[in-house]
Amino acid sequence: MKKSRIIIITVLSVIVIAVTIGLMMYFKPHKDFADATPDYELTVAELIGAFASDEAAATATYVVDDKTVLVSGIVRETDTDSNGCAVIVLGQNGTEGSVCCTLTPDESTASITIRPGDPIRIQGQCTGMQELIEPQVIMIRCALPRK
Amino acid sequence: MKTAIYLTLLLFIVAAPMHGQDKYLCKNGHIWFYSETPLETIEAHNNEAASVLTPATGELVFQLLIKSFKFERALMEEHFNENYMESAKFPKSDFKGKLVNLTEIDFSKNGVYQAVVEGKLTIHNKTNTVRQKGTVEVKGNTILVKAKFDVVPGDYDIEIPSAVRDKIAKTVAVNVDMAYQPYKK
Repeated sequence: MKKSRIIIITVLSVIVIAVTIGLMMYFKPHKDFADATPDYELTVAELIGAFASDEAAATATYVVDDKTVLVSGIVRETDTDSNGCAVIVLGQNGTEGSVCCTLTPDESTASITIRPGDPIRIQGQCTGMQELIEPQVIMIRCALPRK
Repeated sequence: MKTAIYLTLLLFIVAAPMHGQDKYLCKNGHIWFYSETPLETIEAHNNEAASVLTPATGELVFQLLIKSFKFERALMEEHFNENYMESAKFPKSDFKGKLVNLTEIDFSKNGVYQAVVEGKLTIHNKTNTVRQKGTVEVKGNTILVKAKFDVVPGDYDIEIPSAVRDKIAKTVAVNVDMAYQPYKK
């Protein structure tokens, strides 16, 4: 094989590989928190307590690197956001502090039977804690655990 | 008869400010932004913004988590959090301000009112004073606040690398859509 042909084939292969990797990265899907194995399993009180005592440490542990967090507690209220996604707030009535979980659109239809007072386990992506209205840990892309 | 009139007057005097000082809460506000260039359209939505509105004073406060912005593409979301907003270091953004034309808004009467808000907007740990126009709609027990304004990333020390500068608009259009309910103790 001629040397020039080898160079052309090598250059073309490198281009094809680079473009493929670039496209794969550009179109890579979001992490599926519904099917992921939880990295952390906590109660509502433990999760709120972690952010209340050291927000930076809790952010580094539960938020950075898109960890899957599974939280268990009692449903305080249910709502629907402007996208039609179910919002389930976990916490005790009369106690400050809650975990607000927004379900994915697919999971939202399955959540219609969830009522205040129900014990529940929800997993998803923890995005941090807001304290404007009350200390409230926010979880998005949530789903009911598969097992 | 006189006593009855005094009592009625007293009731009005006591009841009016009590009602006026009530706070209205929005727990799942929708804030989204949009950046469009010929090369790329970027859109991200945050449906978890919290806000408190005090009609009596016109005080308006917002808070949101940067990490709660959802993008269509995972890579864009990753770059937004890690390279531009540094959300691990600066996880929140907030606004503290007031409706400056409060006298033109009647919170006791249904209708859509033009509103002007002025206050301090903090993004990426940098605070700027902003003045924006929007609407306040009173609809029974619900108050709807809508606004659209431009944010220049450079004003908040957000550096856009030259490699992607052509893909991100110089000004990013931010939309606010909040529905407030009376605060129940």
